[in-house]
Amino acid sequence: MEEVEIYSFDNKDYVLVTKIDSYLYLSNEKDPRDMMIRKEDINDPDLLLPLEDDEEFEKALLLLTKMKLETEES
Amino acid sequence: MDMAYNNEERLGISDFMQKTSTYRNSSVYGKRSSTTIRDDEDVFINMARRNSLNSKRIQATRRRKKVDNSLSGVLKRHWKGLVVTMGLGAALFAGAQALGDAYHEIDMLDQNPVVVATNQAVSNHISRTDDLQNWQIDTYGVANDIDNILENGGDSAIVLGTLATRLDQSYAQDDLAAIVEHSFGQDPDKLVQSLNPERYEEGIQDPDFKSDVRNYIIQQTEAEIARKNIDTNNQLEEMFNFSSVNTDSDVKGMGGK
Repeated sequence: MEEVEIYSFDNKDYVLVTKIDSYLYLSNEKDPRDMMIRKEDINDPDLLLPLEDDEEFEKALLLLTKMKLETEES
Repeated sequence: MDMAYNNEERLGISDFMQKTSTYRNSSVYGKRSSTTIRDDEDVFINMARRNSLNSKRIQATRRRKKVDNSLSGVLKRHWKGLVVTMGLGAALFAGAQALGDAYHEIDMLDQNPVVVATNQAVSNHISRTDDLQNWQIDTYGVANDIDNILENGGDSAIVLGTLATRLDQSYAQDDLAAIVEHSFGQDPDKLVQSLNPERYEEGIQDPDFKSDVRNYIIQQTEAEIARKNIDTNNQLEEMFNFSSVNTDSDVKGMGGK
């Protein structure tokens, strides 16, 4: 068993897969294909902000890829 | 159709996908057409994008919970799949080198003492005009500071290249000329052209000249850092040898008891 952080909203539970900077990578516990990236509000960590645009979406994915590569290299 | 498709085309991922299509013929995907899978991937990516860009601000509640290790693995694999499908792994490899080079270049320029001093000389003598509408530069003050840099062994090529880069606006060319003429005794364009008439035809603002100086600065700074590292290593080695000697004598002393 592994302890994870769960974010609940809209009657769904999302698992925090990873967090990079203020980006939260969330996956629906019941449906792994239901994924999203959200930004944590600085003043309220329970408030999940949307990304600005496609560019930021790609940037957030790049960060994830970079972290993955670095983890695999080390 | 969407960004994922474009990325794959741009990065040649579609070839990769075709070559690795065998996995799509596995028991899971065996009965499905590639078009269906393509559509599935589009749906999959678009769903994540839509969820992420949805303008709604979400008030969530957090808690910790124990889950099966396999669930965590499944979720991570889906994220990996998303990244791979978008071709971002390849994009990162292509982009990281350029990004790394750019950071390295900025880092090397920032660390070069002559570059820093020359930029500082300019900054020290720039001020607002009385009406606060424009900037003015005290060329005499800058030139005096530049003289000091050169007298203290500052590399003239680095000084010249840094001035050219710093004062590259068309309206600053007269000021640049005044500074260079004061400190180098020559018109800046003629001075630079004399270094390599064929390559630096445009004079002090010739992009080739500025690029060559930039590369020269990077090499010089890298060499200086390498020298410092060698010095540090030598010092560490001396310290190690010193402690080895002490250790040896200690051992001998103990053995002599």
